[in-house]
Amino acid sequence: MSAQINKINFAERQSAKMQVYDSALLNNPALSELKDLWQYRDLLMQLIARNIKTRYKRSVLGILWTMLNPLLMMLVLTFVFSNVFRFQQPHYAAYALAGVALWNFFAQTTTGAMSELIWGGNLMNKIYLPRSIFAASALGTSLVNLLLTLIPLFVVMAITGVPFRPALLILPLPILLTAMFALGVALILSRVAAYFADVLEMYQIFLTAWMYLTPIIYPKEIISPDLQWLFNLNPMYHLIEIFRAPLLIGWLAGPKTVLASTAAAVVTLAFGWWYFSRKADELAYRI
Amino acid sequence: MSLLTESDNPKPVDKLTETAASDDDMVIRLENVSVVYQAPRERIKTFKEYVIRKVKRQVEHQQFNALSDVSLELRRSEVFGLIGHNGAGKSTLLKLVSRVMRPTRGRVWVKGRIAPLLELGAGFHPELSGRENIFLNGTLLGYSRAEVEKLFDGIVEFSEIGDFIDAPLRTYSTGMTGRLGFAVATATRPDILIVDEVLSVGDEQFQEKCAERITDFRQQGTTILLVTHSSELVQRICDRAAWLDHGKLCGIGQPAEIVHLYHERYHLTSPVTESEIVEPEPIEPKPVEAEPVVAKVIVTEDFLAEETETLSEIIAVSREVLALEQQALEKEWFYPYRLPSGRKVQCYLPPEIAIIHGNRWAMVKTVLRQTFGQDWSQLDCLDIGCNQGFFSVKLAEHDCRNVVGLDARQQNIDDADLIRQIYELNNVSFRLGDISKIEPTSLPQFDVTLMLSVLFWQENPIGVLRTAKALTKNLLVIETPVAPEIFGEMDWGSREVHKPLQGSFALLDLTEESKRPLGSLTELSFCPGRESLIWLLQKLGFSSVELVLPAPDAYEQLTSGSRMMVVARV
Repeated sequence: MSAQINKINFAERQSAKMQVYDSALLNNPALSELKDLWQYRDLLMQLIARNIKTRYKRSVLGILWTMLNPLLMMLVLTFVFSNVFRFQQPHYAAYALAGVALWNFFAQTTTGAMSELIWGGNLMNKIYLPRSIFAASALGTSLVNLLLTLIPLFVVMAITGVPFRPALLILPLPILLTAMFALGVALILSRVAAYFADVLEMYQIFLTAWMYLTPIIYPKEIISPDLQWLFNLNPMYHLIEIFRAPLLIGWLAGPKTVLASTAAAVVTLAFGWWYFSRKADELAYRI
Repeated sequence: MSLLTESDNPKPVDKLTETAASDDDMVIRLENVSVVYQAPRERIKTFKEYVIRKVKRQVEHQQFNALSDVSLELRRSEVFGLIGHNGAGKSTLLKLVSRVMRPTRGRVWVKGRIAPLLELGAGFHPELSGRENIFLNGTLLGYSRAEVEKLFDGIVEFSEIGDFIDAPLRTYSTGMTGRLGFAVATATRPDILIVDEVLSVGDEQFQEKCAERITDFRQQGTTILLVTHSSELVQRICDRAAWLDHGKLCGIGQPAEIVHLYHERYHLTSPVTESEIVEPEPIEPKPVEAEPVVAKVIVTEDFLAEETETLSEIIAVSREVLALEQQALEKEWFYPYRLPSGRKVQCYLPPEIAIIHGNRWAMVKTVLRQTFGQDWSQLDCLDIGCNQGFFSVKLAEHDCRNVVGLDARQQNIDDADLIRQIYELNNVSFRLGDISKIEPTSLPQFDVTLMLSVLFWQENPIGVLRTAKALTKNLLVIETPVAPEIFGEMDWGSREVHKPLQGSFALLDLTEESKRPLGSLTELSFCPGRESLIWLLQKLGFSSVELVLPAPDAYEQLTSGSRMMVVARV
């Protein structure tokens, strides 16, 4: 057998430009998944472009919706919470809009990854694609939406008199950490969703509950100190904190928050990637 | 070639591995591959159910062997057939090869690019434009953006999308979508093409181009992996075949042998003829002879009506025939022949004129059907002035017992014979001979004689008609342009004596035509009018002469009466 394998290797060298696939060389699924995702980066861009284009292609306002949607939601929230509940949150409008923007980024990435994976099921059965491409394109799509939402956010900040401070320059860091966390969750959910049809629906209910348990539309100060430990376990709580801090306080959030969110992001992504790529091959016949 | 069954050899290894064939030629290699699915005994669809059962410890897993210990090698440019029932493991094998799935045990090795069997248009998005979809689909198939950019113009041109390229895909017809999908999928030559028997090529006009592309790929060394449960198809087109049953490779070798085994196992009636089955020497590695393919030039009434062929029919053409087709494609033809691979020869008649061939065939066919019924297997036919053999080939395809095509030019005879070989017809032959010069006794008599587009080139049409009459046992079909009519009478020796005219003949100068390579044989012709031809045929002893009327949408010269077809019965 080894003589035959040597012969193959020789043939491989002879026709170096021909792509060769050898199942025996796939010992590290996590690494090869990463390599393949890089190889298919152009497809990733195409998928993101497709998602953005098709979402608004037949609507009059087009891409403006991405910006108007959270803006309108913010107006409703501001009215309800400032006048009905009478929260004493300074700059409530910017506070709520920032929270909603980052939450949407997370929620869209995780749900999008599942529905795209299911959409791609038919294709995945016929041709090879790095399976993580669907989670990655969901992430890319939501990232574009987040960046577009920053525009109305800055407008609201300017109108409501929130000062623009140099700390805004560190905004990419919380976005990156949230992206890592969201991708990790998306990958875990994708693998489970491939096996069970009801995961997406269950997750959506869970997501609503999760949102209300995260200080997005209400000030974190209203949390009872007895429950603070529960909030501390919520990675999204920390991530939203470090996203808001440079916008509203003008500085990085506290070291504990930064540490907690970095740890959550790194661990979730590492675990998610490993968990997903380990069974990536099976996904094709599960969907 | 080794034939393996489970009992003879627990570890099937194709003998090809042991031959000295260079490994450079290998494109797919499976080494002792097994795929084991582990699945819950009952299908658990929801997470909720799974959790509940898990808690109650009701989840029982069972193992299912989709493939067990399969070893297989495919080489460059071979056509390899995979047969087996549903669930035999064919699609699992395809998934392994196209990298969609990884084997549980063993090794899969594939060299080169695989063109997958996508349903045409899979992966397209209806809201995106054709342009955007080309990029999306191209990158899905593993091309980089830069590569798609390079291929873009070729794809657009091939798919004939034209100005629609920037319109959203939902505005496209099914045909357009199919064309675009095929154009993207085959924008570069794949090293391996996976063909499913049911996959059709798209709409009719586009088919010829698809066929041409696939045939090109084959000639340049693309390996074709055909998956089917039709053993007949495997036998007809494959170089080698393998039979999978319940995940096991039950045999690999010559298609005929594999099909035989397969049928033995299932006690099916083999499509192979009786004698081939009984033959007790299956070791002899004779190439499986392609059955005389019932050619596909024309089946319907109208010759130019196209049929939709499936990909597998197109690749069904043997290598020998492909080589002959290549010769035919390098020539110009008077007839728009459609070759078995689905490609069309270059026809120097513009399509609006070329329809006349189809019209005339439809007319001849109608006459023969009315006279002899559907079964022409007892008919001997002569095709005078057969040119490049179109009508002779048609008659032969319709199972006439024997057809002779006669033409005065060696070039035409050679061309006609090339077509005969391409269609693998044994009941037609072509002979050199000039109808105006041959002795009627040099040929036997024929049930049917065709003389299409011959009479108006003759300087002695009456002599030609006499010869034709002598050669005809039953039916003479003549088609020709006709001269204008002159009626009345002429003086016959004195003003008192008159002879009525029986019609007219036109004297024509063919000096120009006779200088052309395939023009007239003589510089003069004496072309009959309609009345004179009918009268002459009666005079020559035919018992009845009938006019054959063209379909209303036939070529203008036929419908206007400038050309006509008559049938004279002995």
